[in-house]
Amino acid sequence: MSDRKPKPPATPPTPAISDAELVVMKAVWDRAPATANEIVAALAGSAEWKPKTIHTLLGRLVRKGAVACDKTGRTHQFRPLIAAADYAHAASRSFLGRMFDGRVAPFLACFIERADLSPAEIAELRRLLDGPKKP
Amino acid sequence: MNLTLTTTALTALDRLATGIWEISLPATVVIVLVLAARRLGGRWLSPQGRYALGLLIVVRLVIPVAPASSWSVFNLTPWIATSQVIPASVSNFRPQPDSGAILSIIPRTSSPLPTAHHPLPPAIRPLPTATPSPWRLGLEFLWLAGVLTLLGNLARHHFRLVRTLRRHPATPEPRLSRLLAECPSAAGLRPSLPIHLLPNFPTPALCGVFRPRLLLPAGLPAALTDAELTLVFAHELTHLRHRDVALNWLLLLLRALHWFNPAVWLACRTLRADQELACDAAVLARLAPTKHATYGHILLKLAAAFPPAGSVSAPAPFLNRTNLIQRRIHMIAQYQPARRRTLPATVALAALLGCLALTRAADPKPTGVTSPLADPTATSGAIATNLPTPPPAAHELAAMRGEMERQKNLEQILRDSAHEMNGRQVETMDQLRKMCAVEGLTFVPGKGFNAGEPDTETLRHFQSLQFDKEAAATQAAKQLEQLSGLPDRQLIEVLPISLPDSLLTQLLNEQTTVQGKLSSLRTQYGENHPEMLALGRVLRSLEEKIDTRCRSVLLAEKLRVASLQAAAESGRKQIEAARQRAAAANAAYFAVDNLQHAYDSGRQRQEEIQRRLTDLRVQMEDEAFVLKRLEASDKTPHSHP
Repeated sequence: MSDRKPKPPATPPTPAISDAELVVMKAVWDRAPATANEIVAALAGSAEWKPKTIHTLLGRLVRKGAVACDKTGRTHQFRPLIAAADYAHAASRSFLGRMFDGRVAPFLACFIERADLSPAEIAELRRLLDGPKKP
Repeated sequence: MNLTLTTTALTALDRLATGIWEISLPATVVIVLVLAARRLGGRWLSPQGRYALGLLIVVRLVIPVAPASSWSVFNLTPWIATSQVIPASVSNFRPQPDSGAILSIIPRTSSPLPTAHHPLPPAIRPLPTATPSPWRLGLEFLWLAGVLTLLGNLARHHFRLVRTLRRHPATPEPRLSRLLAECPSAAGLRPSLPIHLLPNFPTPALCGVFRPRLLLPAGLPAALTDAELTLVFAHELTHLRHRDVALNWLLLLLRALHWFNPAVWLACRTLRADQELACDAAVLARLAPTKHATYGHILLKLAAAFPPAGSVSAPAPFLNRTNLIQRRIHMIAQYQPARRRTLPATVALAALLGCLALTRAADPKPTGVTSPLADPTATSGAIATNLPTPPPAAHELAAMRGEMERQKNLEQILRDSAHEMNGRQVETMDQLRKMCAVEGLTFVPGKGFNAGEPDTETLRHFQSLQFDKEAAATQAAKQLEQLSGLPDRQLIEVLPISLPDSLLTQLLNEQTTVQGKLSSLRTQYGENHPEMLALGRVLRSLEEKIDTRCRSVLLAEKLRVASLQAAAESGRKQIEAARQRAAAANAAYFAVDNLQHAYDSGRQRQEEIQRRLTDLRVQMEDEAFVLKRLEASDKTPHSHP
C-alpha cells in the first residue's frame, strides 16, 4: 500500500485512466520529468481547470501507478510509469473487447486486421522496404 | 394441428440441412482444387488474379446449380452427388435411417425421373418422411444451433458498431474531406464518404454495404502527414471499389451456414488474406514506384500501433502460419507492375478451374461422345435412328455392353425395392386391420376408415340429465337446511306448506277442533271440570303426535335429498367415463389415421417405382436392339481370322 517507488514489472497491467486523467497524462508524457507547476502551466491553455483540479488528477494518477512522483529537494518531479504506446494498446484492446469480443469485426474492410509483430520483426520489415530492390 | 405444424417445421429443417450439406460436399472439392491451383500458379499469378481464383469458391457456394460436363472433376467422384435441385440428392455420410423408414430410389441427376444412363446404381437414401431418424434430427438441430449462434454473434457485433457510430457521428473536417476528394483512387466514386473518428479504434476501416462509411482512429489524422493519409484513403477507397464489405458479409453468412466444414473456414481465411493483398496491389498499381516504400512504412506504423492479439483472441493457430502483415510487406517490397503474361495465365487457369470445378458430372451417353458441349438429353430412340455410319470401334461396343450391365443392375435394384415395398405395404395393411378390429372401426375399401366418432349424442343426453339431477338435489338440500334450522313452533307452521303431508294436516285440524272445544268449556264450566281435564289430556297426546310426525317428515325429506345427491354423483361418474371413452376413441382414430397416411404414401411410392421400372425396361429394350445392330455391323467388316 505504501510503496513510494512502484517498480514496473515486465508487463505492467495498464491502469484504467479516465478521460480527464488522460489529458493530464498526455501532458506528463509530453514533458517527461516535470513539476506540478509546469504541468499546470502546460494545461493552462487547453483545459479550463483550476490548478487544484490538476493537482487532484495528478494525485489520482500517482495512486493508480500511472505516474511516479520523485521528491528532489522541495519540488516534486512527475514522470510517467507507463508508455504512451502501451496505454494506447491497452485502451484499444479493451475497446475491441467491449465492441467485438476482442477482434476487429470481420465484416469491416480494414487497413490492418490484426498484427502480431514484435518490434524486432517490424524493424526487419522496415529494412526490407528500404533496402535495394531485389531483381 | 400442432403435430402437423411440428412435422412441417421438421421437414423444412431437414430439407435445409440436406441442401446445405449437398452444397458443402462438392464445394469442399472446389476449395481444395482452387487452393492447389493458387499454389501451383505461384509467380504466374498476380495478387488480383489469385483473389479472382478464390472468388470461384464463393460462386460455387452461392450458386449450387452447375451445368453438366464430361470435363467435370466430379466424374471422378461419383459418390459426391452434385445436383441441380437441392433437395433431390444423396448423402452417404448421414446415419442410415432406422428400419421403419421407407426407402426410395433417387436418381443422381436432377431429372425427376431416372434415365437409363446412370454410371452407377443410384444411391439409396431415406425419404424425407414426416419422421426422420432421431440421429439425423439430432445432427440437424446441432447444425441449426451452430448457425444461429454464429449469426447471433454477427448481429451483436453489427448493432454494437451501429450504436458506436451513432455516439460518434460523422463530422465534416475540411482537411480530411479535401484529402479524400483529392485521392486519385476516389475517381468515379460517389462524392461524399462520411468519416467517423472513433477513439481507441485501432485501424482505418470501411463499413456499410449500402451506405459506406469510413472509420478512422481518432488520433490518426494528427499522427499522419497529408501524403500518408492520402495513401491510407487510397487503400480504403480501393476496398470500396472492390465492394469488399459486401463480400465479407457474404463470406461470413456462408461460413455460418457451413460452419461444420473446415474447408470453408480455410477458404474464408485465404480469401480475406487475398483480399488485402489484391487491395494493396491495386493501390500500388496507381502509385509512382518511389512511393511504394512509403506505403509499406505506413502499414508498419499502423501495425506498431495496433494492439497485439492477446492469448484469448488468437483464432485457429494452425491457419495462421505466416503473418499477413509480413506477407503484405514482402509483396509491397517485391512489387512489380503486372506483367502482360500473367493475365492470360490467370484467365486460362480460371477457365480450366471453372470447367473442372463449377460443373457437375456429365450425364453419360451410350455412345462415346466426348464433347463437353454435346446435348446431354439425347434420347436412345434418336440414337437408334442416327446410327454412326463408320463401323463402331471395339471400345464403343464394350462401353455399350458395360452400360447394359449397369442397367441390369439398376433394374435388379428397382425390382428388389419394389418387392420390399410390397412386403411393407402388406405389413401396414395387416397392422391396420388388427387395429381396426381392436378399436371397433369399420374399414371402407377405397374410402378409408370410419372411426368410432366420439359419442357426442350420449354425452349430451347424460349432461342434460345431470343438470336436472344436480339442480333438484341442491334445491332440496337447501330447503332441508333452512327447515332444520327453524325453532319448533315456526317449524310446525311452515312444514305443512313446504312439505305437505296428509296425516300432519289431519292432526293439526283435530288439534284446532279440540282447542275450540276446550275454550268454550272453559267459559261455561271453569277450569276444573272433569271434561276439561279429559280434553286437556287429548290435546297433549295430539301435540305429541304432531311433534313425532314433524320429525318423521323431516327424516323422510333427509333421505330423499340423500338419494338425489347419490343420483347426481353417479351421473357425474357416468359422464366422466363417457368422456374417457371418447378420448380413447379419438386417440385410436388418430393412430389409425397415421397408419392410413403411411399406407397411402407407400402406394404412391410403389407406383413411382413401377413407373421407373417400366421406363427402364423400355430403354433397355431399345438399347439391346441398338447393341445387336452394332454387333452385326462390327462383325461384317472386321471378321476375325
